[in-house]
Amino acid sequence: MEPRIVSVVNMKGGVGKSTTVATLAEALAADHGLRVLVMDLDPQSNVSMMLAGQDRWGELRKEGATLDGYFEQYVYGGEPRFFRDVIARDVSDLMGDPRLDLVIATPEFRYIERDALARWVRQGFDVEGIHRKLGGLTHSALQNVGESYDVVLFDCPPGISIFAEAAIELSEFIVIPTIADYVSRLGIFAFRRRAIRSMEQRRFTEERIWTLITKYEAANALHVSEAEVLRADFNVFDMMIPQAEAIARAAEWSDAKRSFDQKYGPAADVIRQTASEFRERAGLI
Amino acid sequence: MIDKAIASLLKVISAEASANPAFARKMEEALDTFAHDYVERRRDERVLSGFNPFVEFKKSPQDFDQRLSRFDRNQLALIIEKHGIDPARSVNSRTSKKKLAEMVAAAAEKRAARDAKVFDY
Repeated sequence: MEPRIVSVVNMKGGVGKSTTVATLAEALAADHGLRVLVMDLDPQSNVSMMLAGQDRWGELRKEGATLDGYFEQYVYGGEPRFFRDVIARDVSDLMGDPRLDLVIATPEFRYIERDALARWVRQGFDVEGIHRKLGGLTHSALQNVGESYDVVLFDCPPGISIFAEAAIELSEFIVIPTIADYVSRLGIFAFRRRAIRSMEQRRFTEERIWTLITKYEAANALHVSEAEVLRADFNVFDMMIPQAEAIARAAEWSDAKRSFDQKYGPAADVIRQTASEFRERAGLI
Repeated sequence: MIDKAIASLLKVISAEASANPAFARKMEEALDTFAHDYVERRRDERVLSGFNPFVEFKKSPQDFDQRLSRFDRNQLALIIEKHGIDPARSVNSRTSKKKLAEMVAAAAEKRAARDAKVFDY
């Protein structure tokens, strides 16, 4: 069975995309027993560091077991490489050995993207052609390991990225994390059309695009007001991720294994419930 | 820590109110004033519960003014406060009910027009 491919994306930075990916991935793997692969498409490498820790991230980077390491063969030529060889197995500092794997990004990832564009443009590809080519390469990479996973989560970078475009083209479900405020809401408008077009091309509907309110503060009148407006305009998850110290602290790697409740503290239940809702909305049986 | 500090403070106040009738009377008056304001505000919040002017305007712009007219002056001021409708903070105690309603309607209309422009970009 093929995995459900999901992109977590918003044009706006700082809305909690990487945190959403990390928390969903851990809840789905640890609590729901799903086999999860996280693909970090963001050169900031935040989700990579959250899930693998800085030390292991450094080792993987040194070994070239990175997303850029995999795509080098298609951009610069050189030794063929299997996608399975760049997957970091069993990441996460949670107890119980959740089936959570990761393909890390590094800051060098942005050079691959730039050089891929330059090379393929020289070869005569237009923008659509580049998207198709990259989408095809990513798709075949995932096909080779697809049976090992129930869900693949793409952590997309803010702004425009050809890799993020390819991820969106492959995705059957899209999560748009957003803070309930004016500027973050604009990020949804900026991205929504693009996502709908991609879904429609594959005969999917807007029902596959869901907004997740993050960093929510119930005592903040602006958040309350804007959350109501978001719910009127878009598909919005019932659950909202609160602004919580526990979630921010959980981002830091722990060398000692910890339980889900130890890691996420008072936010653990909200994350569990969000993962359950995500599973239902994304059709993850 | 703070819970113990508050408990200790309340104990002092309680002892003083028992021993000093003048102090007790002052406390009653202060509590009465704040309790009144608090009850009023909570009542207004209940009345406004579920009414978001930006959402309501989009649902039905033609009778929006009429729907606003059922709110009193304090409730309109609360709508303005809760939904950030007066970013320049020009509303004060002398601002009329009519003016407040106009501000809410203008803001809701402006937001709907702005959203319509960005929805498809």
